[in-house]
Order: sequence, then structure tokens, then C-alpha cells
Amino acid sequence: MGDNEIRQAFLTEAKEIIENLESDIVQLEENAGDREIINRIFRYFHTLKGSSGIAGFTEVYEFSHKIENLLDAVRGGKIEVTDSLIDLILDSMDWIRDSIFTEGEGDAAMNERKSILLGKVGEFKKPDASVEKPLKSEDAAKARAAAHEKEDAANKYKYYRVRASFIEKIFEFGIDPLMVMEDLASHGPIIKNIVDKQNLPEFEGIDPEKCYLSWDIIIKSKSALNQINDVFIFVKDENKITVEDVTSQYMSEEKLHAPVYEKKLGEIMLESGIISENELDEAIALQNVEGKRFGDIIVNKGFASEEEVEHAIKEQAILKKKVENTTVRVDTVRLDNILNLLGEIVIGQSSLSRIAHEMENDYGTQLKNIIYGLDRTTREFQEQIMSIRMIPIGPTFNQFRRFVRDIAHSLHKEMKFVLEGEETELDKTVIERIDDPLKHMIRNSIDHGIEQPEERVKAGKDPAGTITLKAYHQEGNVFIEVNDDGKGIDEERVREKAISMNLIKPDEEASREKLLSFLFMPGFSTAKKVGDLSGRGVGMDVVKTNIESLRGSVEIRSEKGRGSSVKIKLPLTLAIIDGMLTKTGNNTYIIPLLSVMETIRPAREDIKTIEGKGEVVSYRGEYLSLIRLYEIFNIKPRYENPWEALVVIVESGRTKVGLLIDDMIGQQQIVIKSLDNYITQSRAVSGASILGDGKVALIIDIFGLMEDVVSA
Amino acid sequence: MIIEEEIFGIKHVRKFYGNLKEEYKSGIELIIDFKSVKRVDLSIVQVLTAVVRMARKDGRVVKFKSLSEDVKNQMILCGLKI
Amino acid sequence: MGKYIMIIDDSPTIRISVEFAIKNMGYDIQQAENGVDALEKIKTIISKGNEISLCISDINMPQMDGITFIKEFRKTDKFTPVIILTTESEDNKINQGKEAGASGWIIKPFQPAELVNVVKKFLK
Repeated sequence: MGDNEIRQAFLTEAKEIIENLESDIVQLEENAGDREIINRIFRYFHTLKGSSGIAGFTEVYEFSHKIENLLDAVRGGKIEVTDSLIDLILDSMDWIRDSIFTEGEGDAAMNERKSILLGKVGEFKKPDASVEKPLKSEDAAKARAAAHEKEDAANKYKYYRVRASFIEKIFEFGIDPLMVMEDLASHGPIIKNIVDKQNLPEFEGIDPEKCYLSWDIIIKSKSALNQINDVFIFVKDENKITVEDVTSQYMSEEKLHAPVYEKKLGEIMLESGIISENELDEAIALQNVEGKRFGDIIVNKGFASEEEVEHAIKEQAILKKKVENTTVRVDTVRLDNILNLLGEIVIGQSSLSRIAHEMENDYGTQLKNIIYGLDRTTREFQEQIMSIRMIPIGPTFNQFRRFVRDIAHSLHKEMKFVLEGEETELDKTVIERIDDPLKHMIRNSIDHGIEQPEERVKAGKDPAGTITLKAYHQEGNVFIEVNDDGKGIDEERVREKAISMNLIKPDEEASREKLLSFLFMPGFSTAKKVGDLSGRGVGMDVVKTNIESLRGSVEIRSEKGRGSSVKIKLPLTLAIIDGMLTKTGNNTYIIPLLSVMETIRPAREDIKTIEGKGEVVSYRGEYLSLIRLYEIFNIKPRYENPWEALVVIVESGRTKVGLLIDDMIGQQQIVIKSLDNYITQSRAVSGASILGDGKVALIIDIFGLMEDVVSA
Repeated sequence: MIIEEEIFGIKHVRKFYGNLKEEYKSGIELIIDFKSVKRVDLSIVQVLTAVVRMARKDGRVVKFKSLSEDVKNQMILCGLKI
Repeated sequence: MGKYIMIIDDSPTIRISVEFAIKNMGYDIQQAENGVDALEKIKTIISKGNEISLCISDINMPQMDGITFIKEFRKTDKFTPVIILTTESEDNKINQGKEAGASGWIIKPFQPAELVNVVKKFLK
């Protein structure tokens, strides 16, 4: 069977149709309103059109299509059956017969006859010309043109996201969704396939003839969007199908097999081979000196074209977006909640550990080993959570650049600003609260420390002063230093001021350390004049308070003529402290280990009462105020006599005191639970923690305690 | 259970589902032999997914025997891991 | 047991060209001139223990049109795919066909390869 047979079959069919047509048209002349006859005539032309198209009689196909359209209008009552219409149909039928059987297609006379007939068809059709539908062959031509365009774009992979969810009874349409999806898969590799099985019932309740699954697929394909859409041609109307071109999202992704992180412009240009390593180094060096934009330097130096730089900037933006997409923003409150829960776990663990210690058999040992392992895990867990809260100090440091420049400008001083250890990480809360104290110290340094340029030149220094901001980790703490190369602190003037404030007697010997510690006293300022900036009496005492509220400490060092240095020591985090557990009466109190210097049992003669200072304890030649913890908390102790009990020497800033406690229990990492407004009327307490036995222990705030007791 | 059909699909799924239910209840080890099967359709994969899911819950195992590459790929496309 | 594809069209030219296009797909082929003819032939095929795998049906036919045929066919066979043959001037028939339970369609005139592509969406 082949083309010839189809042609033969068509000739037979056409002959039969034309015979039937002839008799029907004659009948129509007699019964102009007979709908049945009109329908039959319409169908004959319709069939002729279909068959001629298949059999390759293109002109007959196109012509009968026009007549079919005309008859459709007649069928729909839009055109009346008149003698001239019947004549036209008869003439059209004759033309078709002659085309097929005698004259053949393409004959000039035939073409002329056709034109006349179509002209008449046009007259009939005029009122309703718009309904005429385009022929499939015209569509096909358009499609071919479109396909041609596509070829240019071909050979390039595209990424499509296809979401397909089918109606439950799709099988009843003879459609297997799996076959549709296989059809899709034949267009290219599937990058991601998420099959949603949520709607699939339990085995017992399933109706096996219904469709329950749906798909969310990313496919990589060279096919055009409409080719992908064509996969769903028979299902797109009733089912939920979406096809999206997501190439732009995925192209950049494919390049990044490596873990995603933001990149510097230079890095990107180096990787893509636009600039060499030497050029990169040179540009970076220039950037540091000139402070120009990296891209501009690259272009000025002729290392790359402006377009190349722009392209790299775009790529950088894509990366940045990508990074943003792969990160999650979490409220720190949630992290705190996790930490609190972890605290509960730690408490449970220490309860277990206590029980394990009380068990004397093998089980006790086994349990202890398990708890030991668990301990390590929780500690690591804790560190991981803490690390989430950690952010580098760099951005905070950098924002001081402008600040330094502005202050130096207003004081007619020249300044260089150097940063070290910008990558040092510390707790977000700490960073937020360190900002103001740092500003204050920087301002002090420029104002009081750095000399005027001419003065500096006289002293043999660079006319521009240098302030160095430096951060580093050491022994579980973060240190931040503000160093300047100014004239240092004039100890003589500090001494004078201290004497005038009655802090020392005129003839009293005072160590340099002690003198410098006066700088932290409220109202202590050595500035010669009351300037715009610092020296207004709101001095280092505020800095110190701020730092201590972060459980940190601060110290000043200075060398005359060489500069001064303020060193801040901060805990890595505010959520956990190393605490010393102490016992007084029936209660446990936690003293932050950071503040503890030593624990002593004083001799009876070490305890004295000094006028104006109250009860004191002698410690290394100093008399320190003795604070009886049980008095602060108004409880009954086991020992009232200090020589029977213990004294913990604690220090806040430069002030030391002795804390009288009953006994010492040990040291432990403590997860701080905030007390909110519950006990905070007492400044002696900063928080609480729950211990292994479930009891609550208060955490002593040494700084607050001293403020409350000593100064009172 | 041995599947005889080459094209195993919606026209057989109700009977298959019934048989599977019976066999599962009987408590014997479920082995489904696909050696004659050239193609399955979604209805079959859905029933298989559901039975595997149930078996996992009950701590039992369903074994698929003599799966052709084609059928295996069909199952993977439907998210049924084998 | 044979697997049959039904070709239902009142035009022998179409029937022959459809058969010509799909004859190598490994199925037995049965032609019918209209819906009534098709339903009778399907009954015979099934009574001999054979199976209908696919129907390809014209819409506009004397005696019983394609839409009615699909409705009748679906009364006894819910799942076998049915492809309708239609022309561009009757796309409202596609919707009617789908409502009756048709699976897909192809617009006449078509190239043999086009038809094969459509058939392959339902038979593999």
C-alpha cells in the first residue's frame, strides 16, 4: 500500500461523492429549506476536503475548504439558499470534478475558472468574512518559519520547570500520565524530579484507576518552549500544567558546582582569565593607596575593557543573589530559644551524671562513659549554635573610616586609619553593643592622643597620626584594641586631677596603673579645654560601664610620647559563661569566672573594720571591702565568721572586693537564663541558671554588686 | 506473583490491586515478577508505591523481580525508588 | 490474542492513508465506515478474545458521528485511547470529543509522520 493506492482510493471516493452531490444539489433546488440536504452537501465537501488533502490534491483541498466554509454559513442560517447560491455550488462541484478527473491541477483555464468562483464565494461571504478560519497549511507555513528561527537558538541547552498535576479520572480519557512524562523526559536529562505523592492514599483506601501523583520537574533540553508545551497538547486544558523557561536561573547555577559564596570582583576576573595574578595584585595595591574603585583601576591600567568589568560586575551580582538565596535569615530569638533548650539538655545531663556517680556497680561506669560522650556532643552542638550567632567585626570596623576622617578634619589633624583582624568573629549582640564604646575611644584618641601635625613633625613623627583598630581571639575571649601613636597620657596631669578630686593625697605614691585607672572614674577628664568632641566629663567611665555590662573588661596602657592603647576584653558570647559555683546557706550562687581572682580563707587578723571603708579583708597588702553575700540576699549562712568560711576575691575594672561565701562547689559552663524583670531590682544579680539537680542558681553581677554596695 | 502482561496498565490494575491485597493479607513474602512486562503505566506504579509504603510501615519487604531497564526508568520517573 | 487499532472514517481515502501511516506499528488494523459499523466490528473483535488498543475516529460521519461513537464506546471501554480526526474548521468538535472521552486529536490533512507521532503519545 502506498501513495498510489491512496490516490486510487481517493479517485473512487471522489467519484462517488460527486455523484451523490449532484443529486443532492438538484434536490436542494426543489426543497430550498431542507436542512438535512444542506447538511449532507456540507459533509460531502468536508469529506472531499479531507480526502483531497491526504491524497495530495492541494488545489482541490484549498478550494473545497472555501466552499465548505460557505456551506457552513448556509448551514448556520447566515446565508440564504438562493438560485445563485445553488448555481455556485454546482459550478464549484464541476470545477472539482474537472480538476480531479479531466484537466488536472495547475491548468491556466482551470485557474481562471477558480478565480471567478472564489470571487463569487467572496461576495456571499462578505458579511461574515471574519469567521473564515485559516487553513492548516498556512499555519504550517508559519510554524515552519518559526522553526527556522528556532534553529538559530538551537544547540543551546535550556532549562524548563514543568509542573504537572492531573485530574483523578484522567485514565478514563485513555491517557496515561506516565506516558506523558516519559514523552517529556525524552526531551533531555531531568535535573530535578519532585514527585508529589501526598495525594496517594494508603494502600487499603486507594482507587487503583485514579491518578494521584503530580510532578515538579526541571529538565535540561535543547527543545524550544513550544516543543515542550506540545508534550502536553492533549492534557493541557483539563489538567494543571505549567511550563516555564528557567534558563536564566539555572545557567548561572550550573557554573557553580562549587559551594556558593560571594566573590570579589578581582577574583571573578582572575577566574575567567581576564586579568592575571600580577595584574590583580597590582590593582589591589593601587586600590589600597588611591582608594579608587577596583573596576576603574583595572580599566585605567588597561588590564581589561570596560565591558569586561561590567560583565564581571553582573556576574558578581548573580553570585550575590545566589548567596542570598542559599542563606536563611533567622531571628536571633530563635537561636536563643534553641540555646535555652540546649541548656535544659545540659541540666538533664548533669542530673544523669550525678546519678551515674552515685551508682557503684558496672552500670554506673557504663553510664558515665555514655554521658561523657554525650557531653562532648552537646558541647559541640552548643559551639555550632554559638557560631551561627557569630559575625565578623569587619563591617563595624569599616564604618569608622568616615568617622575618623570627619573628626580628624574638624580638629585639623591628619589621620591614618588601620584595621587588623577584621575577620575576627564575635557574638552579634556583642558587636551591636560595642559600637558606641569604640566610637568614644577613637574620638578620645584623636582628640587627646594625636598631636597637631607640626607638633608631630617636631617630635620626629609622621605628620599624620595613626589609629589602629585591632581584633583577635585569645583563650576563649575576644580582644579589641584601639591603639594610637600620639603623645600618650600625661601621668602628671592625671595625678594633679586625681589630687584635686581627692582620689589620692598630694604626697601619696601611686603606681602608673592606679593613676590610669582613674581615667575610668566618673567626671574625670584631662582635656585642657572643653572641646566639641570629648573631654566633657562623659569619659571613659561610660565606656567602662558599657563594656562591663557585656561582662568584659577594659584597660589603658600608655607610654609618654609614644602613644596609648585601650584594650577591651570581651566574652565570645553573652549566652554562656564560665562560672564558679559557690554555696551560701542553702543556696547556690554563680560567680562569673572572669571576675574571680582568687579564693582565700582569711586568718582572723586579716579581717578588720576601717573607718570610712567598713569591714575589710587584707589581701596581698591591700585592704579590700568585704561583702557578706548572705547579707545581700538576706539569708542565713552556715558560717558568719570569715575565718571559718571562704572569701572570693573578685575584681571589676580596677576595683577588688572580697565576697564572703560558705563554700565552693566547682566550676562549670553556665547557660544564662534571663530573669526578665523578675529579680532585676537587685543589681547584684545578672541572671540565673538551672543546675543539674533542678535548682535555680543566681548569677552574681560583680559590677552591679560593687556599684550597689561599695559606693553606697 | 508473576505478571503475564507485556503492557501492564490501567486495564489490569484493578485485578492486580485485588491480588496484591490478598497476597499481602496472607502474610507470605511478596515477590512480584516482572519478567514479561515491557511497560507499566502510572496506575500500576501508584499501586506499587502504596504497597511498598505500607510494607515499610509494617516492617515487611516487597521484592520486584526481573525488572527491565525500561520499567525501572518508568518507576524512577514516578519517584519510586528501587 | 490480537491487539487492534480501529480506523473509523466514512472516507476510504482517509481510512487507507491512516492505515498506510500506522501499519508498521505492530498492531492489527480494522477499518470501519462510521460509528455503527465500528461498534459492531469492535464487538466481534472482542468476542474472539482480542483487544482494542486504540481507536482513530472521524467526527463527521453518516449514521453515527464520531462524538456519539465515543460516548457509546466508553460505555463498555473506559480506558482505551481514542484519537479523533478533525479539520481546522471544526475545533469546537475537539472539545465535544474530549467531553465524550476522546484522548487526543489530529487535524486533517496530515502527513503520515504527524499521525504516527500522535499515535505514539498513546501507544508505546
